[in-house]
Amino acid sequence: MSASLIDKLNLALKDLLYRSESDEPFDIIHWKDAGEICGPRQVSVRAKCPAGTIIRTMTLDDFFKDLVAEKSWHGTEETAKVQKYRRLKDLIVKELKNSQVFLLGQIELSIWIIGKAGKDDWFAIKTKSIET
Amino acid sequence: MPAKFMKQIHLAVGAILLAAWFALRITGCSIWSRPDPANLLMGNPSQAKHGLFQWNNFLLEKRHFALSYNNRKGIPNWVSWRLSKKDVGSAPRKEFHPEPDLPFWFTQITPSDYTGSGFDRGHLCPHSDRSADDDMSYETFSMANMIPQSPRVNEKAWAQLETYCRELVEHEHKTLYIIDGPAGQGGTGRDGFKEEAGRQHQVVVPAKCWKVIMVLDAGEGNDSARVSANTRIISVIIPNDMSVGENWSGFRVSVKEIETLTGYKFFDRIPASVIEPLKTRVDSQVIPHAKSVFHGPLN
Repeated sequence: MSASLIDKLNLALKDLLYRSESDEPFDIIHWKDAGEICGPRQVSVRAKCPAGTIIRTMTLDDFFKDLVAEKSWHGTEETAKVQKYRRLKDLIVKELKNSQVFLLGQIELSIWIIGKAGKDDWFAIKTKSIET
Repeated sequence: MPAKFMKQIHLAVGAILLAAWFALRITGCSIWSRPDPANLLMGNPSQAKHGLFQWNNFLLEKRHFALSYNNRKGIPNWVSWRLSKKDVGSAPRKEFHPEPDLPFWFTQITPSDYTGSGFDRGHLCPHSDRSADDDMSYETFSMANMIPQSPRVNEKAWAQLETYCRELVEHEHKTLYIIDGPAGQGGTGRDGFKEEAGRQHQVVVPAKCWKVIMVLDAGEGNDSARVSANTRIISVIIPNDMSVGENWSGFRVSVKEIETLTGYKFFDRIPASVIEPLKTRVDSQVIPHAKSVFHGPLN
């Protein structure tokens, strides 16, 4: 199941760049036998954050709110991107439970979307956001 | 009143409304935006005008900042705003978007024009300076408020200077008048030296980024009347390349140097006898070391 989920995620994330002040690709991390990863503290350990790193959380809906919304100025490229984000969100909702978004650090933030595929079986989809 | 006469009146009113709408549309003027005159209180550095033939020095007064836009370069010439404590809050960041209030015949710059350029979408008026509400925050994500900025400038010295400005406002109760912009052509980003960005190479990559900050004490009455011989002005010229670190204070210059670089005249609404001597000084106040910022993990 997990192997095919990785394939599905890879397909959904192909050529998708997360837009902030820069444009960054997504990576996937898969943890087997990971126990429970449910709070900022456990995420900061997994992400090897230095002490004092500011961690914020977001819901999946809040994270995707602007990304899945079509705007009047969107052209072909932007519309295609919105469709990709809709497919990605649908995939995450369908395949991962307890999904949550963590924003780690300041200015050059790591964004981790973490969800559970099965017992002790977790996935993180991560990217970077430049927020000055 | 005869029906025929009424019809003529209706037609005339309709024609007037249509003409008014068209005039507003072609000049990029928005009837919904009520710009804050404080953003240009100290002057208009390039004498930008809001007019049909202002292609490269087009004055656009947004509600929360003012700017001169350069259609040939695809970037602003300068952005100007007043910063006080009430402007700073916790409104979330918004989506980057094309500027809707520029004339429709201008080349539209979209967020994608910076994708793959190796340069950041560098805010001139930063989001955090306009974070008191969602409307303010949204305006700062207009592409007319962006320049292609080297990541090392945007994420380091420039960000540190922006933070320093907000500290002056939040902790020392100062009011700031800030103008900043690009100069020259050709900068170095993640992928090396480039002169242009954008799919049609329509966005000029600047060689330098400059910023002028007038620092006023809190007080009653018109801010411009409180400019005196003791008024502090901080100005910097920072190269748009990957050599830049967290430290911005080493880039301080006089306002005169920026006037020479850009050809602009700053604070022209302040009497020359007051402002001209201030323009020759270089700020020498000791700046604390940049606060360490915990970036996200690198793994």
